[in-house]
Amino acid sequence: MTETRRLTLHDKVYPGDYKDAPPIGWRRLPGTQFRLINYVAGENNSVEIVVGETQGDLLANANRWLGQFGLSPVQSLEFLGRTEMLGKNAYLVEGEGIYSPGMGRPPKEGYAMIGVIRESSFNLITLKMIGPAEEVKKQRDAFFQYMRSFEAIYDHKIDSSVEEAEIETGEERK
Amino acid sequence: MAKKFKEMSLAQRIFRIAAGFEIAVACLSLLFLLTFFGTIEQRWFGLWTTIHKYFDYNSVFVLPTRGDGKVIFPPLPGAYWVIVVLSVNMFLGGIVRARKGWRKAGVLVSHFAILFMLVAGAVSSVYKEEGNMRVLQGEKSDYAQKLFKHDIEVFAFDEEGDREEPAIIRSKSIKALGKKGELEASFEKFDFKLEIDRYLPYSELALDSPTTRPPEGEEVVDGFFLVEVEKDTKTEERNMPGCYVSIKDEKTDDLIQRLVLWAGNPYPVTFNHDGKRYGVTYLMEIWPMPFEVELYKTFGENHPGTEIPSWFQSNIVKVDGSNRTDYEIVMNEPARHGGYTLYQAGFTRAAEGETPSSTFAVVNNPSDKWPEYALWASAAGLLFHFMAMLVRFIGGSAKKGRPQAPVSNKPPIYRKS
Repeated sequence: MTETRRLTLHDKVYPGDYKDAPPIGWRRLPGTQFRLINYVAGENNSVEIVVGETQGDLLANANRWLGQFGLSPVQSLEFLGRTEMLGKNAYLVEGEGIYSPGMGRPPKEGYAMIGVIRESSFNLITLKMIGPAEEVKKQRDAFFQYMRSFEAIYDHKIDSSVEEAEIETGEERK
Repeated sequence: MAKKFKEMSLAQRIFRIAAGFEIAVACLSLLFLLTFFGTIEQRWFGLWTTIHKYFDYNSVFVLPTRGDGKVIFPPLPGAYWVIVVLSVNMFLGGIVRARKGWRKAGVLVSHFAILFMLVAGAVSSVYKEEGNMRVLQGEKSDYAQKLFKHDIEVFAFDEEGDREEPAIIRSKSIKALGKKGELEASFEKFDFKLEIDRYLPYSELALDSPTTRPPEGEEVVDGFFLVEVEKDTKTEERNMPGCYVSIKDEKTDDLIQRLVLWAGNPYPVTFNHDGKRYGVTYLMEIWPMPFEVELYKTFGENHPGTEIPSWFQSNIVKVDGSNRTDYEIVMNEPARHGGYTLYQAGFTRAAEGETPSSTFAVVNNPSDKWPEYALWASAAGLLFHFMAMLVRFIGGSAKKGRPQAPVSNKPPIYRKS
């Protein structure tokens, strides 16, 4: 096959307008209703890395994640770790133990999770890695490197719209 | 005096039939029936399916049917071929056979113009390209997508994570597979190949879960599987193909990655090979435009109590290099630029917190303006013809009013025997 085409703005369209740069070794799968971006990594693709957008209360979402590992809910965001994603505050949610994914799937022992929930004026951006604890540990650095790789893309916006987007993302146009 | 049909040679007879009014009347009657049944049938099967059934050059015969499949009229010849016959008939009868001379010049021009219009239709059906460009308010686009053609694109990511130019497997090659065919595609720029071994023209992608189990024997790839669905006959663009593919090393034939591709998935799936990341997408054909469209404002109204637009408007700027041109596109008033025509095909109101959008139908048709030229030429020809007849009529009436010329003494040329 020799046919090709020149690149267009279609090739610069990213879910949620956020470009990511995953490490080599991670592999992207089709997205789903709740999984805007869907990667697998590690031995036998046992680690899942998922980016999503959700609405609702940040604390409630964090506690739902903790609940999947049978952990007690936290009363306030102060009890969560802090980080930064796409120029805004984000909160860390971590857990280890028996993971109950729900939706009729059986619980999995020896699992671990690292989750990040980022504040936003419209919705919450979530980034979560779940897998066997050993594998999650191996992918930890890559996960945070991946979190920092997110970049707001404005190529498809008219100049006058970029300002509004910059205010929302807190990131200046590159 | 014209020869009687029986006295003609075989060639003359064939010419007489081919150029005759009888064929013209038959063709026009058939076109009436085809349009009539096509209009009825599109109610059940949708516009795209019906137009292709009745007007495509692949349709030699057409069987008008109801929504339940019941035949409602005997087979009719396909409209494309009826128009071909009508064109030949028009050329032979309206131009070759027609009387020539200044008195018939207007009629000849009109016949030629109608023939030109039919040719414009043929050129359009072969060379016309069309696609849809959806743009959100405040955004821009430089590509359209062909709704009924789905290509597979394979590309590498550079070090910045940006896509490089893709290698394309065209929709035509994939569709030709059918459900049991297999396709092996090698690429000049890659050292791997892609093998399609199961293609489903109408499918959905499902996630293997306790609530959605795959049918027995169905392959599950990365937790996903394809489900075959019924064709949506009314809205063709909703039909999404899918396929299972293997990425293999070009030299060793070793499997690099097994993938499931589905045209409804808007983003690529990826695999890694020799320390580099590659993406594969199955998507509506991307048609790059030689310009950008910036959408500044889209607005419109629906008919009361419906989702059917009564009118809509898009205020755009078309950017071609350093040239910027403002356009207001409204219903039936498209923007034309460098052989491309942009019609507004739809607009989407935005819910709170969302952005409204416009969808433009983009058409590149080399014969786009030919029917208009043909109409002008035909009108000019007929005007010339009627004016000439009027002048002759007035001249003849004036002569009748004058005193008669003296009667000649010469004997008449023709006598009754």
